[in-house]
Amino acid sequence: MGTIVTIHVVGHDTTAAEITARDAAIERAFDWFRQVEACCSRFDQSSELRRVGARAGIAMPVSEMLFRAVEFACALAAETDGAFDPTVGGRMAALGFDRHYRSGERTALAATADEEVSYRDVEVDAERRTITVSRPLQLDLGAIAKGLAIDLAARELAPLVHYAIDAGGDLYLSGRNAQQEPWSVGIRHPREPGSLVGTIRTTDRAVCTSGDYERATPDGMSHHLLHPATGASAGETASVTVVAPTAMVADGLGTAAFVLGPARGLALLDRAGVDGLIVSADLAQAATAGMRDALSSHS
Amino acid sequence: MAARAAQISDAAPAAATKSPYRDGSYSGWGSSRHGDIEATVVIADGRIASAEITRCLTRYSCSWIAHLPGQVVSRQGADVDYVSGATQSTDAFYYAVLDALSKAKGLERN
Repeated sequence: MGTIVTIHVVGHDTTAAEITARDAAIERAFDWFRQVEACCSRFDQSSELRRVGARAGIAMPVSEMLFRAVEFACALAAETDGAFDPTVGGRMAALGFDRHYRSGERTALAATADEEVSYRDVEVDAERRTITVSRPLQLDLGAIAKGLAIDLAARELAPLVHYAIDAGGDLYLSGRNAQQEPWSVGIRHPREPGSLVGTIRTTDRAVCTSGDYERATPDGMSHHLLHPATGASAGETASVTVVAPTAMVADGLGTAAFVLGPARGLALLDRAGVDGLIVSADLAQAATAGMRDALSSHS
Repeated sequence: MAARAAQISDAAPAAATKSPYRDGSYSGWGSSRHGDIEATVVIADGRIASAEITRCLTRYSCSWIAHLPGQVVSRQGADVDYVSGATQSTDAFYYAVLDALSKAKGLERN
């Protein structure tokens, strides 16, 4: 995932057995990031994700992990009328996002970019846990895979109560920090490196931010959050921060709100019952009511 | 996944009036996939007197983050536990300062 993952556990474990159990839980938590990458990478020829979109008309049985991710992605696509769409993979590659983060090698396309392809070409069957594509396409779970890994890691760490997971600025905060207070989280300013647009205190929540500063295309012209309808980068939004019960939901809603732009993005967050802050390209801020309270109570 | 780090800290009540930092000079390391940065933070009278990049082992020059140390002093550093929306670019310096400040707080358990 090309990401630094930090796990921070706060606690009083003293017995050897407690420390052993804690360290084992931390190891299992880290391992989810490797497993999710192996399963959901768009860049790895052998990943389960690459295989699913390759052949049309066949109900492919998939792992529970991949099923959960694709099912959520398709539900979010339907909810946003395609503003968020996990089938943008082909167009991502056309724009140059086809280099593996680690090796720098170009990845071969499983399917060519097809402007007609959309999430409606993906059918998920929860009962049989299969995915069927109506024509060859390349699924892209880049918007939610990191969130999914954070959630799976958090499940391993749950018995430890007080912990934080930081995967390249996507966070899950549980319990209390070392000062026995709710965790304080700064929200990165999208234009001024090292400064913050605000700070909140939160606990038992994921805080994920999508920004136009994260990755640029090789031509330096556009960033990686694509508007599915046009295949061009969404332009109105500089960054979106979402505070939600799970990181997959925060990641996915953040990406969708980014593409929708400040007004419709904020409406989506309200409809989903999560809190968030949207910073527009001209640095105007739009926040849900809960987020406004959280931001002002901290300053 | 390029890098990982685990941190364990004791839960300790916050000192309400006292600075969390002990006076002295503290160095910490931060990593990103572009390389590692060492930051050194000097605490005087409980406040961050200076912060600087003391070693730059990134693939690119550290000159483009030269403005960050000044911001640490003006904001008095780690006033948050985490930052949402971290970029790879400034991660290394941010974590190096956090690492140095955790030593200044005496929370480090090595």
